Amino acid sequence: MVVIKFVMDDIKKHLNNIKVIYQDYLKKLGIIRSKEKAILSELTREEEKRKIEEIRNSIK
Amino acid sequence: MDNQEINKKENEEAQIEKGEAKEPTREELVGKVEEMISRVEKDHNDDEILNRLKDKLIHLSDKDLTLHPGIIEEVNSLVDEAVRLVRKTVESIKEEEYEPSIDHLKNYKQDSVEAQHTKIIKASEKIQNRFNDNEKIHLKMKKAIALVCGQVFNHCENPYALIGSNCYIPHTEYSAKIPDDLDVIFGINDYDMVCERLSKLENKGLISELKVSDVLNTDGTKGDKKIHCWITNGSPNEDDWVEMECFAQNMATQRYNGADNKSYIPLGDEDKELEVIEIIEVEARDENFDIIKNDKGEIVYEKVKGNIGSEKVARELYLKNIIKEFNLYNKNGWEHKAMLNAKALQRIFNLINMDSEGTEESINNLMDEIAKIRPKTETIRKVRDSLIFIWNQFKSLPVEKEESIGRKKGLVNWLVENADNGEGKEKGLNVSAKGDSEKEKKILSTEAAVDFITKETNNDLKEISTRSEKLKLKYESVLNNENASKEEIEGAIEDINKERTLLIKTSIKYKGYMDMANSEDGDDFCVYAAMPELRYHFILPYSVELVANKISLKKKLENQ
Repeated sequence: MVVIKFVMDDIKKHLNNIKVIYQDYLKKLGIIRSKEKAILSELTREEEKRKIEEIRNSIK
Repeated sequence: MDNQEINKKENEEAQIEKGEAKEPTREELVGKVEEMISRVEKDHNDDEILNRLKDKLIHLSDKDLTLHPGIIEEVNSLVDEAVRLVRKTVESIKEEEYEPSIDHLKNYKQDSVEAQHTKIIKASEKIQNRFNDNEKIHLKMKKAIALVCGQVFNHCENPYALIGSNCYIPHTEYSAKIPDDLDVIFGINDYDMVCERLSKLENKGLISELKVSDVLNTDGTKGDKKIHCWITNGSPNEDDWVEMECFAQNMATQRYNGADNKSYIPLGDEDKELEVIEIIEVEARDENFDIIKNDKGEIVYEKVKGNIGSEKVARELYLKNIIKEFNLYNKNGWEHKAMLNAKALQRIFNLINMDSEGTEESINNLMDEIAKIRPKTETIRKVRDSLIFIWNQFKSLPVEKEESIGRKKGLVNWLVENADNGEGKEKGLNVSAKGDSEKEKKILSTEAAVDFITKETNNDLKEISTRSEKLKLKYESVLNNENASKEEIEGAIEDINKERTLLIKTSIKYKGYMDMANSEDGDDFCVYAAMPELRYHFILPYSVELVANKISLKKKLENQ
């Protein structure tokens, strides 16, 4: 079988494309997660605030 | 891991370090695709934050929800966004796992140098679906393609490909064009086989008017061999027939053996990618082209596949045609009037309308693509310069007169509403978009405007050329006739005056169109591009020639 250089170079290109697609995916997924994180932090902060408030009230 | 495996792995790592790693195989690519898809899905499913967030949302009281209006919708929209992202990423990764597809090529020489230059893969679902659409590619065209691919070209030893509109349409999202002819390129090695099988098909009444000729290059030398015929599929009704032109080209073997001219699309000579489409199910035929029947006497059907050029091949064809056509204008278009082709506009539009393009940037890409064509010749440089000049001219069109009406309407929009279709016909262009997409409407409007102007410039080129031939005969006969009367000379001068008036009228018409172009709308450039060439390299030199002829006749009149 003759070594088909064009096709092999092409496989390298496809492998590289996959790498680029995955990096792009991680970047975009990271943005979505940071938004989720911001919402979660806000809810957690308020929950903690409320708990502190409840403890304060119970002490009173 | 046993010692043998450890050694093997160490060996591989050492090879990689030395830069001697073996070439990747397709199996590795398939493995990588699977690995990356599962990694993408895992990354998405392991969303710890989202799980905690969902848990919190479930436990939110009505009071909490009032404090955070729209929080559920916001989280849902993020979840949707992530799902869409995963789906799109998985699709993109899958697209990288191409599938070589040559099982339909019965006699294909996989080890040939031509095959080394040709990657033949299964067409993507998107391309196949567009091809399947009977409104985009009519059934009679599919039957014609199935006949010639199944009975002729799939028997080739070297690569072959459908080019032209049957290759363009599957590579565009929106186009109202319907392919009406069939263009094929194949290797000269297969020429005898192709001729023989086509002749047999003609004897069977499945094709007609089979003709063979040599294509002449622009320098007059013999180029590819051309075969022309009508594919009838046995129908006596000419409306069912499809015209086919196929070109037998020199490929790598012929070039190694001294053939010096490269073909227009050097298939089997330079690296090219072809896509295999499933055409349609048709009656299976035996070696004598008779329909095969089973034991019960029922007709046997088979699904036929065929090769079409990739988007890159389609782009190459349009680019080279643009170069050829603009070059003829630049080399004093008037002297090449018989060879000028008004289709340059359509080709510019087609290039911009293909999948990988669609924005104004594509016009700059077009210039870059022309610059990248090898070998770099003086012609390519000149065409590129001329297109850049026209593009810059377009971008600097005056804007003063639009101040009163705000943004300029633009040439495409004006033509859609006002194009003159001839006496008694309703004005405007018929643009029928199927969906509500603005992009679709815009593309189909530009396509219709480009087709309208192509038709108009084509008519003008032909009419002016025909008139000029008649006028030239009259002018020469009067000028060379020593006994020409005063009335005859004055008559010839009058004819020249009339012709000049017609030319001025045509020139003003195009100037009017050019003035209407909106320099802020790249699509207008597709309609605009050939007009300056037509005015300055076709109408103007002819006008100058007429003035010179008129002076000669006047001198003759004075000397009487």
